[in-house]
Amino acid sequence: MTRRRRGPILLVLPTMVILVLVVIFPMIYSLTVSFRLYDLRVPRHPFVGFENYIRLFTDSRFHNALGVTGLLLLGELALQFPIGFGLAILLARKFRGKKVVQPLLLIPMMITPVVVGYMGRLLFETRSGPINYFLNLMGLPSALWHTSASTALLTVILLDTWQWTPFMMGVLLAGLVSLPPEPYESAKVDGASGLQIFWYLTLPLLKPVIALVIIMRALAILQTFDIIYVLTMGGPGTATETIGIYTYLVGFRYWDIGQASSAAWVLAMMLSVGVTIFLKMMGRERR
Amino acid sequence: MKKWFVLFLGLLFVGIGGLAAGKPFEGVTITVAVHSGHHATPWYMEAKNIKDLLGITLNVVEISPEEMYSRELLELSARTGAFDIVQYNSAWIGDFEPYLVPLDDFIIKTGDDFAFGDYLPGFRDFHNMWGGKIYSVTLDGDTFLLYYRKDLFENPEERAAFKAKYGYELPDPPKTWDQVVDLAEFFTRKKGEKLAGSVLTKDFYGYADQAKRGRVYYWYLFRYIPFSAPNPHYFDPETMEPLINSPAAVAALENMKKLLEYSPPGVLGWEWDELFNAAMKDGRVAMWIHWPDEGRRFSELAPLPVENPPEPKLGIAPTPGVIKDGVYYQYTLVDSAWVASICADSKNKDAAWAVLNYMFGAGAVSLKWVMSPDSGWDPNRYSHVNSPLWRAKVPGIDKFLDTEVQAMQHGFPCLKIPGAFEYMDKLDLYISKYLAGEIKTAKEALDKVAEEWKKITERFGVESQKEFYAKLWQK
Repeated sequence: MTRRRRGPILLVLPTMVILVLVVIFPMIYSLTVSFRLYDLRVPRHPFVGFENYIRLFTDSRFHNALGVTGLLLLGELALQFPIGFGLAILLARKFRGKKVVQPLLLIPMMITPVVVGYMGRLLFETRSGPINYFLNLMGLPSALWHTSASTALLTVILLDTWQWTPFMMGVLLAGLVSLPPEPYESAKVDGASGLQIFWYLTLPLLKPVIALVIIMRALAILQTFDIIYVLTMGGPGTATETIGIYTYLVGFRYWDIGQASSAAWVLAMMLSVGVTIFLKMMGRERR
Repeated sequence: MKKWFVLFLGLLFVGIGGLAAGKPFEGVTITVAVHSGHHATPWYMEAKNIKDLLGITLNVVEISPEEMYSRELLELSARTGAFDIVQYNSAWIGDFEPYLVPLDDFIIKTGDDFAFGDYLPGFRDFHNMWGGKIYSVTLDGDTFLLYYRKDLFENPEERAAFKAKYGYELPDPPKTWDQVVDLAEFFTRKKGEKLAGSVLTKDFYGYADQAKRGRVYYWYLFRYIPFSAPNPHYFDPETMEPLINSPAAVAALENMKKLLEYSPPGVLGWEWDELFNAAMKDGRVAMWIHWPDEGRRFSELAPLPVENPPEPKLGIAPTPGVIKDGVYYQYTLVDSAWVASICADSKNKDAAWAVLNYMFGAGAVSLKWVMSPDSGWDPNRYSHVNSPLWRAKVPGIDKFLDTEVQAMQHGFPCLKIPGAFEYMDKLDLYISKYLAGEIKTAKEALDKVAEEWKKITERFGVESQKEFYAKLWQK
């Protein structure tokens, strides 16, 4: 190997070593664990083939967790994207007090999710929480929020939306302000309406940013854990038991690390497939 | 001169011997794995005294509660010798037993300086004993008591109205679950109605459980155990068949659901804070079951939410029981709280015992730390609950301390066999589903629990679990 070729390799080598140790090795190890009966309390961990995966796919609780996770994903994206986009469009304009409003709107995403979970417990408290207080002031009855199986998931979605819409807004705003001005000037000269400009210019130009932010949020939503752990612990019943909570319980409460690893790998596979399909769809539209 | 030199040497040896006798473990380091945070405080605070008295250097390793089980089990099972003493939850004894040493010999060898018999029976039998041997010493005497509004229960108008409605004297304290249902129904009132002769400024509720998913199973066990009298068990000890779906078990769960009718809205999401605040800070609950915190913090009870409230007064009693065939059965669930043991691979077991003896033996040190709010440890010895010092320092604490003694006479253990958490979590899950209305009947919910319990038992091995289950009861 020549010195010229050796130089770059030596430069990336530390990164490669760290990547292998920190990312690749744990992934491969967890994959091997998913094919073993790996109980922390038992010294031997025999190879069991696909048994963990079979147990997983025949577990009604896992099916429920898949459903809950799917609803959480759809619910959050359906709220966060339009609200975030709307706020980004508003903030892309010049108005008085913008410098105050913009950082204020970003505060929620700077709070630790565990703290947001505790805040949620206080805000949505059925008996004396401020949200029910305001509902009562408007003549509406108190809602049970996270303490009822029928509204617990909605409460999680609302709380997560409060925290993460600013992220959606921030990324989309960055995309909006970096769009080139020329097409807009031409459109205005051609007499295009605001709606036409938004539909035929802004949206297509912003598609890469939209794809990025949706993928980032989707990945984060699928990993939601802290807020649910603090707010409902997956309950009442299994109303808010996501794959994340399910995996935690199986792995770190029942010590069935084998099955927990298989659940984590199923989630990872689903994510990869989902992201690939989404990117292909976005790419096809762009062409 | 030679004579003087010999005398000097003799005195020197005697002196060194005397010093060595005063510090019998000079130069020894004992590593103790402890629950991080407030549980670690006493260890740090006593480290210097231990050094001065025993010559032992204490190395305190704090481990967060979430990773305690796995970290300790990994170190113990790999026999690394990393710890001499481990603090752990007594529910883990089934998994930890092979790596710990029984303490009987240490107690005998040191003339029972520790005063093991001073432990309250519930803790002695169900924290420390395992398979007929003493495996641990109790740090934290966690258990559950019934709390109620004595200021309300003593009100003459309320007493008369209760008798007129239910045909018997208002029970103070409530002794059975049937009485709790009657009392809860009786005291549940709306804002604007009268309570204790005065107008309510807020809705008031007869009873509340801490019913959030995760720990709601405790509140079911408070019922399951007495309802299953006279011989309550989690499993049939002969066959390991779950008894959790017996008719008594179903009745216990139905009682739980019935009491939801008289509970504040939202109790299905209540953890420790919510119940404590609603009952103690907001004063809106007539009866509830909780850990000893309220008993120790009795003076924080808020007045009743009425226009002219009487002076707040907290009633404390053992958890309710049942009457069957004219016999009263009451059991107190002994929470599987924090204990400490000596590791089998410790190279300094005698020194480790000396540390445990110093920290948790009967006497001023252990009393100081259960009295202190800094440790989070609750009383667990007769010498704690009968302490004239505590009673003199905290006027009014008597009621709590006396009730602890009473409650601990009839202790009942949490499940401690391997997989205990998994068994309890499945119970918790289906109770939560039933209370939330996801499962229609108590029988259906408990049949599911029994089905899950069978699967767990089969996974660990029926015979092996049977042996562990037997150890739970051996004294």
